[in-house]
Amino acid sequence: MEARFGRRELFRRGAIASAALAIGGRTARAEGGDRVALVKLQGVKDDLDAAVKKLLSPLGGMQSFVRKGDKVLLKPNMGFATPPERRATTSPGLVAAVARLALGCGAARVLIADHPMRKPEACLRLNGIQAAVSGLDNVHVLLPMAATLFVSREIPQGKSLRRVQIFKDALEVDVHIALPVAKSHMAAGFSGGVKGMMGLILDRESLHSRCDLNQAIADLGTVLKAQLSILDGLSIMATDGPAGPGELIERNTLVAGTDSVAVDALGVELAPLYRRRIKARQIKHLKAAAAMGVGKLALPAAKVRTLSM
Amino acid sequence: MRSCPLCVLCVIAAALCAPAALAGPPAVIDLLPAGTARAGPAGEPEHFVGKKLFDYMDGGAEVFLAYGFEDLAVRQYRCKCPGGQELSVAIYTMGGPVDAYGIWSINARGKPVVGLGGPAVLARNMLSFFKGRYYVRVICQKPSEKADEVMRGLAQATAARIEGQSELPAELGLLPAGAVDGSARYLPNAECARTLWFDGEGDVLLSRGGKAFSATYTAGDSDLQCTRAVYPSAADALAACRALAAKLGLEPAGDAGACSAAGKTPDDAFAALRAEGSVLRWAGGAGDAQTAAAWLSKIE
Repeated sequence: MEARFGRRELFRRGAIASAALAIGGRTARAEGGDRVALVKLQGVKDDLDAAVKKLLSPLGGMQSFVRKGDKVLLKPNMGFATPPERRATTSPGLVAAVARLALGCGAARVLIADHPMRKPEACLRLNGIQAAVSGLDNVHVLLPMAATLFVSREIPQGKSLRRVQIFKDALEVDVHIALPVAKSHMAAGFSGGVKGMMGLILDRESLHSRCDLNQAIADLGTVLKAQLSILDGLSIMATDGPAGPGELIERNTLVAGTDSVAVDALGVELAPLYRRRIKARQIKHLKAAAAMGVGKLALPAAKVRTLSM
Repeated sequence: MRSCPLCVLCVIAAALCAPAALAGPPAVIDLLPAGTARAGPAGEPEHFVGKKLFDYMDGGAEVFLAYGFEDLAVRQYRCKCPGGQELSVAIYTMGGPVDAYGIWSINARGKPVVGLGGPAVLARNMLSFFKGRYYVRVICQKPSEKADEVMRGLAQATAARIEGQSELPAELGLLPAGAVDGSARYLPNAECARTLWFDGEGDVLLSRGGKAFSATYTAGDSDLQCTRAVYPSAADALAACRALAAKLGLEPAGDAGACSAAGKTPDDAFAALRAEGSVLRWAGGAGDAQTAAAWLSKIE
């Protein structure tokens, strides 16, 4: 990993590590007609580089999204100071595999960003993502916390959330790839890529305490969209999310797509959450996001592929 | 130096009040153990009050607040063993003993642990128990038999600093026997029921001041849910029954002063419910109508 900032400098800028995108950025490249827009890959074991290549193949490969010289944002879950085995955070191996693939397509810089709950040093030490990308040049892990690193943006379609402060660097990237881990969430029911956009804003607490959380997540989705979403369903924290510890269910599955809502919808049904078979339409923020046109809860069969390793 | 009569009076008053203050309940931060033979502190205690809980856990704080969360004391410890893995002890002050049970009951499936002065379970890398109005979680980063022992030690050291004993709420005895281990829940409001019902049934059930106990049962191939809710008045129970029946797509039967309903629900399962006095009983998720009725009759 290239040392873009010294450790002290990172803290001076607000705290260790990160980046992101949203309003702006390049539009999705794998849409229209009957082009495949959603892929589920089962039987994923150790070789995550091969798995990600296979997963993205029906979508046109990573080269459909990343071009030479691009600045790429990866937005995993990495804001909890918990070890990867807890599954509150995205698999470090998956993040590294996606970063390598983006670099292989000519990305000039890869930013890996998430706003941490607290204790950014502990997050970096425990969740394993920084260590996993430590050998990669031009890859920067950032955990922004300082208000000066965020800019205020209006949400024109917002019903519950009408203005939000977004991580500045996120507005400057060419490609935004969401890399959420699928997990239970005691307040939102499920946490995936759509909910994960809260990791790119400054004040998350107000979404919980001063907004209708589910509607606010959907509102945020109208201005913060990833061109590609890759959902980590390798092992799912099925209870007591988002931080856990909770019950873990092995699924060895990855889901990718150009529609974050559809990716999450598939993720909801990968495993029972809270010991119940829940449908995507029962997750209020996904239902609200679909109603606002952020994405679709289900795609036509022609746009969906299921693969196995 | 001149002496101020008012100041002297204040000093005397403060001195007289001091013993009363000292005799009050200990601050939650004082309940954290200094350490054990196998684990020593690794950092200073942290304290979160009210909505500042969002700073500690973000999503998930809502449900703690719904159980009357007041404050949290948390501290990191380090195992005095090779590798020295970190553990944490978190003590949550809840609204009252039944609220402490309620928040504990959300994640109460695991191996029972005795000797902590209250119901306790160990599951994966967390040992949790409640005692009095306190909910306690001891968490290790990587589960192992050795880590279990260190967690037990920290839990015992914590429990020893909390006075009294705790038992499961007596109301659980009004639900049918044979519930799936760790499935019983206390639901004082709709926010607490978010992870139990996903189509807004909890909002309807727990409107009008209802407070419920609920548990899961295995009946054939079905996971059946038996719920007993108590309302401030019979009129509230009646209204909640009718609203819940409507939510489930059922036609309530009975005259103006009664409510019962049964039949197939939108999730292709069967349910039966009935309001009597200030109590609403509900058996849902059954494989057929007879099973739903039979389980409804088992709810006292």
